[in-house]
Amino acid sequence: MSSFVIFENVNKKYKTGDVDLYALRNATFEIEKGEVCVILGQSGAGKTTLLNILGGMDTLTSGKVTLGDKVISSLSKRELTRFRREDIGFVFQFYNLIPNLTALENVEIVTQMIENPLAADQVLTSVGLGDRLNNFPAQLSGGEQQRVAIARALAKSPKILLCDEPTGALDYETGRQILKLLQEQSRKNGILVVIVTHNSALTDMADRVIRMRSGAIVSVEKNNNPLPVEEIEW
Amino acid sequence: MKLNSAWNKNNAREIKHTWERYIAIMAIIILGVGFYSGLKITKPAMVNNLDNYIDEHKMYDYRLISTLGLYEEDVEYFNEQESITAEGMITMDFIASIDSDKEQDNKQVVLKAYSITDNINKLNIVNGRMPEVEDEVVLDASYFTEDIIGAKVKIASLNDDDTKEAFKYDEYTVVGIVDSVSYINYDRGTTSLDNGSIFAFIYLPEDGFTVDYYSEIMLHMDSESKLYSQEYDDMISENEEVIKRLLEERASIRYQDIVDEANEELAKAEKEYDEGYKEYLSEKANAEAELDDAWLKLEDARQEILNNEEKLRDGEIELAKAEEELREGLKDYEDGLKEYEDEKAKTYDLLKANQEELDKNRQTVVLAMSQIEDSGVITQYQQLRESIPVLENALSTMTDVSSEEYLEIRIQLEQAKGAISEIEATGVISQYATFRESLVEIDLGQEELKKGKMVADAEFAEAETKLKEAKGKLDSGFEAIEKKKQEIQDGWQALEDGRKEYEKGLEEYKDGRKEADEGFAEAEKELAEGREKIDEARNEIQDIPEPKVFVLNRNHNLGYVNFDNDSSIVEGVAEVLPIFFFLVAALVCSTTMTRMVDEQRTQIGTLKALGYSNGAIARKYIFYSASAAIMGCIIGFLLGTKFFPMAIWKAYSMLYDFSPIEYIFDAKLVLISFIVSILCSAGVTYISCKSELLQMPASLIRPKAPKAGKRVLLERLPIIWRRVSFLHKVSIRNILRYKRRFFMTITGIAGCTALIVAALGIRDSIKNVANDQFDSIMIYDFVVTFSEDQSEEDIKNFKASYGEELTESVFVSYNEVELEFNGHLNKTAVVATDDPDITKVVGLHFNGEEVPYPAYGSAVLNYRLADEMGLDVGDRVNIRINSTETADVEVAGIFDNYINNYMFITGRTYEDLYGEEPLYKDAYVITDKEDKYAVSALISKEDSVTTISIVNDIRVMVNNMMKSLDSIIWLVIACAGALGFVVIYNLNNINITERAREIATLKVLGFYQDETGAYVFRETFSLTLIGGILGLVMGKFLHMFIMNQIKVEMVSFKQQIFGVSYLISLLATFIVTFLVNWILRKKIDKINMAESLKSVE
Repeated sequence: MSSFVIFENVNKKYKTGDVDLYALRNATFEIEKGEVCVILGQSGAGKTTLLNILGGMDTLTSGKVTLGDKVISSLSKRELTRFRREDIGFVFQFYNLIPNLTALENVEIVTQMIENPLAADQVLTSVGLGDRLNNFPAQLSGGEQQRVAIARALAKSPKILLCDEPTGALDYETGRQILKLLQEQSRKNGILVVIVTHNSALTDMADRVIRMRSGAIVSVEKNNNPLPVEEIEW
Repeated sequence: MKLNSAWNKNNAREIKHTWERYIAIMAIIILGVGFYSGLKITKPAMVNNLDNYIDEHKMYDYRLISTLGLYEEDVEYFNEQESITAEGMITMDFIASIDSDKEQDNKQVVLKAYSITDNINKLNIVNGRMPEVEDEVVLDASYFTEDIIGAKVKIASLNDDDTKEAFKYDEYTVVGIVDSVSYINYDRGTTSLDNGSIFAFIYLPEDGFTVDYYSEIMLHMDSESKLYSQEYDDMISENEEVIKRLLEERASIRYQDIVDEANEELAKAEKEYDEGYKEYLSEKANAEAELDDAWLKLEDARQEILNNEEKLRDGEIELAKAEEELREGLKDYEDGLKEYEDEKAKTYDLLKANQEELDKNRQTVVLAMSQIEDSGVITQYQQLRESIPVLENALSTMTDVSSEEYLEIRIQLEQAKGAISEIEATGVISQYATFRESLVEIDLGQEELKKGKMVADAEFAEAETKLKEAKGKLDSGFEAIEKKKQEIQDGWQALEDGRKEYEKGLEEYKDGRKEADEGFAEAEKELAEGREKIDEARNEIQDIPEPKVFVLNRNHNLGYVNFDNDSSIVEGVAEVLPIFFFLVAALVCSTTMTRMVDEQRTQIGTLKALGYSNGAIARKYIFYSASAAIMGCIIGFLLGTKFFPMAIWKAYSMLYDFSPIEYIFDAKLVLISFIVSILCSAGVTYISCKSELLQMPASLIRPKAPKAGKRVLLERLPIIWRRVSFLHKVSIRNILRYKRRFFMTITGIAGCTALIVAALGIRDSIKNVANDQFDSIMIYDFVVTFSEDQSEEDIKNFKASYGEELTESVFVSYNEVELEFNGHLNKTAVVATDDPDITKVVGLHFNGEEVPYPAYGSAVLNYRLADEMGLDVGDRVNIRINSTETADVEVAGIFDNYINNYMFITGRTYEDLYGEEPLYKDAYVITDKEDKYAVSALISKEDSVTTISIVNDIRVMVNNMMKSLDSIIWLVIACAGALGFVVIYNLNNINITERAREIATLKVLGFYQDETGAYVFRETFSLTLIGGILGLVMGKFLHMFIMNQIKVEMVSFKQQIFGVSYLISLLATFIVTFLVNWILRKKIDKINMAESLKSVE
């Protein structure tokens, strides 16, 4: 398998006053297609920056980011938006559902944007929310909301699923269910799933683990025997 | 609460971080207060301005006019009255030619000249100085610039003589330009001169005139009353009666003076006439007597001449007769003479023949005797013989026979006789005696012959004497006749001379007669003329019109009245519009503060947990909004009260330009503004945040459960709902999520649109009032007012004389009356006419339908009147005939009319109602001539015409008034725009901050810039659309409301809003929305996608 995501010497520098602050420093790594990749690091380690850059939400200061056949580090703002629209699925820590839309509509907001989306209700059914289609986010539990969020991300058949602390706001059990759902997407649908977390327990379920500290990649490990989610604990 | 720096810092930072909200609150309060205070202060400011101006320049309170003129005594008389200042003024309209260095100023215009007064109507010098000498003038600053100073104003030669004489000089030098308080606006009135309209006024010193009477007296009352105040009106109407009575007294004194003077003069004239007449009569009598004398003399002369002529003729006849007689006598004489001659010849022939025979005998005898004689016997004998006769003769002569002588002679004789007888005895003697005998015989014969001859001679001598005597008599007769003839001849001559003299005398007499007659005729003519003049004068005296006096107050000053009306328009608007702003301000405050409290619930909770009291925390938010509001209030009040009056004044500057508007401060207004601002901010804040602030800290610290998505009613209609794209669904749900925000926005936008609709609607309604009124209702060009009732003949004459100029002229009776119905009392003009052409000069329509002119016994009246009185067709309305009587008439129709109230009836109806014939003193006339002023000037020269109102003047005036409203309307529109802007900006601002996460998420999800913008702004657009449409409806009502507020005296506006105004209003609202969106798009763009990753606060 060839590398799907390639980071080459990626730097992200913020200027605060006279001080240059590196959010990312010489980040270089590769992720292969269909993997579940966990990026592990403490708060401020730069993992969110990395996720932002990977998701086309932020630009980088120097270096090169390749995703499949796209060099996203050289895309224009509009191309980046398009890239996000068509290729990226996001799962946020706080779900970020539109409160005024039902579960179904929250998925449809994505499906109506792109060509050839998956059927929204089917995607929701596949994440186990077939009976909650017309509920508003406020009427759903955290896990259910996160499922809606995942369904929203999956409905456009993304090339890559980016998850920012997907279990951060969830209780243990629910978190596991969500992680299972994510792992399934990788296993069943061959979607590259990138999970950003500070929870090292999640490393066990990953095909690849990237550890970060202070904006730098500490290690990139390939886990040849990832455990099913049911077996990991924290 | 203890004020500490951290707390204050926090609050200060709060404001700094949320400056947009802070500004929003401030802005909306600025708008509200600005609008409110600005509009409210405008009328007082305007009135105050005028009040100051009028006060400073001492505008008259009354103008007194008398048809008999007013004099210095009258002025003094009024000056003596308590609390009255009086001053006389001369006015004179004239045509002026202005002669200036500047070409463009040279013109010929009609000016109204006034004498400068010192105490009342003081002039306001705009430039230059006041006149110092008699031939200096100041001109109207509204119509002349300072460039005119130094120019000459000449009394044009085409002025009539009276006018020219009224001015002391032919030309005057302009030394300044001034404003006159009599002319508050631009209107300069009308005149009978030239084109009928006065161009400008001009003031000159009183001594610049030659007239010795005043045209009017101005009165200024010592009164503190503000103008247009009830107090002032009361004072004016209270005093007016008194002043009118005083003026009437003065006028009747004056009238009496004039009449007395005239009568005196008349009496003098009559006396003179009478004297003249007497003189005429006596002179005439003298002349007649003289002439008669002359005539009599002439007549005598003529008679004498005739008599003489007759005498002469008689004399002639007598003379002829006498001559005839004489001639006959002459003839007799000549016949006698001839007879005598013949007789004589014959006698003498016979005598001669006898003689010759005798002689022959004698010879023979003699011879024989000679022979005897020779013998001497004879001789003796003879001697004897011869002595006998002598002796006998002698004896015969002697009477005394006894005398000796006689006896002697007798002896002698006897002797002689004896001797003789001796001789005789001889025979010789016998022979001889035979002879002698023969001879004696012969002698006897001879004697006989001689005797015969003697007899004949005697006879002849006697005849001859007689003839001679006759001849002498004849001759003397002839001579006498000749003399007589001569006498007659002389008589004829004398007669002729006399006749000539008589002719001459007659001629002279005739001449004299003629001369006298002519003289008499002339004198009579003169006398008749004198009589006529006297009669005329008497009639004139009788005709000296009873003095008419007029007391005009300021309400007769067009500018003054208009100013009240015009400033009231603003007031009408000020009544309603600010409510919108305050309502919206309250909503803005409420939503903003609610949002702020929502955002800061964690902080509030924390603060509470830290021990800050509810009050302290509440005060923080109340302080926040209140401080914004107070600042807004101050700024708004300052801006509003400064700029609104200024802007509106500026708008009116075309009409009223006497002084820049002064800032006036109204503490009451400040207080109201302040209270309303506080209520709209702090009050609203407290109410809307109360529940939130009173919550327990624990629940506050927890994030607020996001407001649940809610299904809207629309979703129950799947047919529609399914067709709505989800993005629109979001918008719809969002719109309905926060009711207050929804109302704020809808109200704000609706208010914005409504204001614009109303503003434009006012313009639509007002703009065409004058045109509609004068194009389709009052179609006539002038109202010609006559001094007296015009009879049918007068009307016919008028129509005939101006047939060329006037296409229509309808004579009407015009009265102003009060109508009563159901307790309503309204004033209206009653127009009565029987002329069917009335419909050609007055258009009666109602809502586009023609209203027929009322038939006998009914009336039509205008809509506003009917509306105000609650009258319907078929009702009977009471007309107040006089203070005690009323009459009622049926309302047959209602018609559209915008200026003044009118009721139309027929002349017969009028007669029925009033019990007297209508007086046709007014005529509505139409001319098709281009220059209507020329026509009006022409007609105004007619003696019977008193005034001519030119409809076009009113139209121009009304149109100008409307134009001045335009800028105010623009001001309102600008404020409406600002209102819309603040509201929409505030809404979007709240929405964007509130939905920063949502927006960030959408961005992450791959929404393009446009899509993200649309997601936010769709809501604004929807609200704009809803608010806008609502605003259109509200605007219509607001417009209605304002139109009802704008009660311009006697003017009713056509309530109409054109479609295009609705469109413009909606469009303007959308433009505001677009503008806000355009500004806020940058804010959306600035939202970082990383925001989406943050935790919910």
